Amino acid sequence: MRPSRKGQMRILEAVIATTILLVAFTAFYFMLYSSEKFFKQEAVDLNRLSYNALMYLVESGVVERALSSSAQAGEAMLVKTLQSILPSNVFFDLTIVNVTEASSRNTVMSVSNAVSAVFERSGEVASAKAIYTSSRGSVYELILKLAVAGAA
Amino acid sequence: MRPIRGDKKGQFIIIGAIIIAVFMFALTLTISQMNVQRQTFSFEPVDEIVITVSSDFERCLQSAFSKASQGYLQSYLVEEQPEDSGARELLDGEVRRWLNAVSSAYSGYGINVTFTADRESGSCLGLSLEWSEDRGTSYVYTTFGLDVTGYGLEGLALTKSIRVDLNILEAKMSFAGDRGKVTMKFTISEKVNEGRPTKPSIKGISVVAEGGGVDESSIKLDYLGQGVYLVEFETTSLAVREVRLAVTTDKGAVVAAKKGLCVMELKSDDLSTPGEDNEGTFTVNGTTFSPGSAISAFPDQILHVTFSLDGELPCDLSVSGPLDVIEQSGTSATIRVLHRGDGRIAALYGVQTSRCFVNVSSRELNGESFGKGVIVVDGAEYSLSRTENGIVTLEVPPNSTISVSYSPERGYVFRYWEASGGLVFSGPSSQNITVTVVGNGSLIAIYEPSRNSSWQTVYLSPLRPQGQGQGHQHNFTLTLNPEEGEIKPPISYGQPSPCGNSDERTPSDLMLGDVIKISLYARATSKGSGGLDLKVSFGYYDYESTFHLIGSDTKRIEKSSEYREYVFELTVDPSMKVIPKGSKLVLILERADQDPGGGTIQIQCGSNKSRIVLW
Repeated sequence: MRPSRKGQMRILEAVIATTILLVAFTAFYFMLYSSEKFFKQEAVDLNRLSYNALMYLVESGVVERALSSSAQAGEAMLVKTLQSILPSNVFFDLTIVNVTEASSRNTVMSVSNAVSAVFERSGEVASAKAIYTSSRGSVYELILKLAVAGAA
Repeated sequence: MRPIRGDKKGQFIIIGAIIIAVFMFALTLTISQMNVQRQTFSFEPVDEIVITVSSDFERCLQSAFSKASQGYLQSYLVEEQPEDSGARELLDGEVRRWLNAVSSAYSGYGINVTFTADRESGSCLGLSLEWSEDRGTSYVYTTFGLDVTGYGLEGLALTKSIRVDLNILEAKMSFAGDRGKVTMKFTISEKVNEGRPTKPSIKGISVVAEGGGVDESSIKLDYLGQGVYLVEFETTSLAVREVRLAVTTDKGAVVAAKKGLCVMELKSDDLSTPGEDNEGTFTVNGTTFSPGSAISAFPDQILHVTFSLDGELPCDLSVSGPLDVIEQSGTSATIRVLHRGDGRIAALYGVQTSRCFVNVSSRELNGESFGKGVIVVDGAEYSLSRTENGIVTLEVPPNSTISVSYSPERGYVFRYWEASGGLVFSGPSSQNITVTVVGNGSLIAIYEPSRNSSWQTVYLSPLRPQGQGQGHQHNFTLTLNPEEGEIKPPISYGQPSPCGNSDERTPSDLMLGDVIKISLYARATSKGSGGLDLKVSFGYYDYESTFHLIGSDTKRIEKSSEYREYVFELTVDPSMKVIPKGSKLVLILERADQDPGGGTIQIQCGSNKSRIVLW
């Protein structure tokens, strides 16, 4: 049976090489997939999420209705809308500033679902800004900050 | 037993596999890190800024447009010819304020916003509020330029426009006691940027009646379907000269249009006594009126008029002004209103004298001149300028018929006939009429200047005017297709001649001069020869799209590197003196030399360049 030893060794070496390559491919796939998923949800798209949220508020007419309502009703409307469109583990802070007159910046509304310390402590904070002209011609600056709950 | 040494080649395979695995691991780690770097720290919200700023500019433009049109409405409702300068100031002020706010909010991004509405005038925002016809338009437009230099974005240009159109389709005046009841059908459409026109919701309606107030509580608005609205309201007077309708959309933009009426005096006259007697009663569309009162009706409206008088035998109904008798039987007539103006419906009765005197004269529409032109009565020609006071007095037997025609002087066009007293005829807008004389009366030919000064010089332009004629009223442009920048029609045998026609139709009859001068700034490029012979023909398409050639002239365009002015003089045939209202001007270029070689003539367009001078 001596001549067959050579063949057995070849098979054993092939099995070992295949195992190494399989492990490498698995690690390759896992690392790429997991990193993309991680950043999409927690870091990168937080910025885009903030812009999308702002655009939704503007285009759906929520901001127009909020500005034409009383401050209390308007703020409640904004909080309700933001809570419905953002994931539950995301903190938000929206400030609306009247910038119609170049000389003065007057904060007309400010809503949040977290204390300010949350945004200072969080490792992942995104901020977006939009300009908004109401039907009455007043110009407002909308600033939305988002933070992921638990991200340090 | 020999140790398992195997084959050294097998060990190399394992080592190779390990090297490949390590290399792949390193590659994966690098890609992952690059992903993190790019997405976490290099997020550049340039797309978001562009979308945010440009979409908010649309809101700003809408708001500014609404304020400007509302401001203009205030003067439109009370003034006959309001100035739109106040509206423009409102528009500019709103946009300037927005611009300051944007610059302040995005100060760290290197944002630069520019507006260009009209390259010719250099204005930033185009605004047109044309509410003087039964089709009204409110239009704002600009080219919005945005640079975000902080992210390397430069030269983004977006066309932004909002256009609201109001079209009065039909208007009717009916009578309810001493009040008029107006019904108007109209459509309204809104077009934002290059989108399709949509039907906006209506937020409010304002109505003004010149010559009588409007009962605000009587205004009712209904939607009839198919985009057509119906508005009804009552006027406090029966003699209304004009109705202005202004509609405010749900976004606050205002558009208005107006419709003129014909105000008709109802008179009755006993021809056997001097002066008007105003006895009897008129019945118009079922409502009774006393002679001496005035009523009004919209153009194209049909009136069924009957006159009755106790104890007398009525003789006839005489109609003058912009009214056309469709059917008449004694003192009953069916009359169509032709256009706005002053009319008269007179019932004539009583004993006739043996001779009737008819005064025939002419007068300019606005009363600035009189006694011009030539009157022909039954073949006899009378030049009114040579008669005393510009009047021809005819003596004819009662109930006789005479044929009358009028030729205005050069530079004027005939509009319609006005008659008073015992004259009966139909078709007042026809230059040749047949008049039945039932009593003394006067007949006046109404004329008006034929030349619209804005059409005296027509510029050639290779570009269609932006904004559908906004700001171009002073410079009407004749568009030649299809080149841009310069017209380079290849002129050679066997090819169709380059031809251009005006975008707009003539607003009135245009009386031409003896010679039409066509100035072309041109140069020729040709192989071998020293230039090309160019034949220029000028004519027009009338409202039925029939072509009429006015004249043509040929000149040699020299081969040159610079543009030179060539003036083509077209002698106008006397039979082609007038380009009728609603025509399109046409310019045809043809090669006239016999050189079979190829060549090109380039024509330069622009301010004070190639143009047509009609008189």
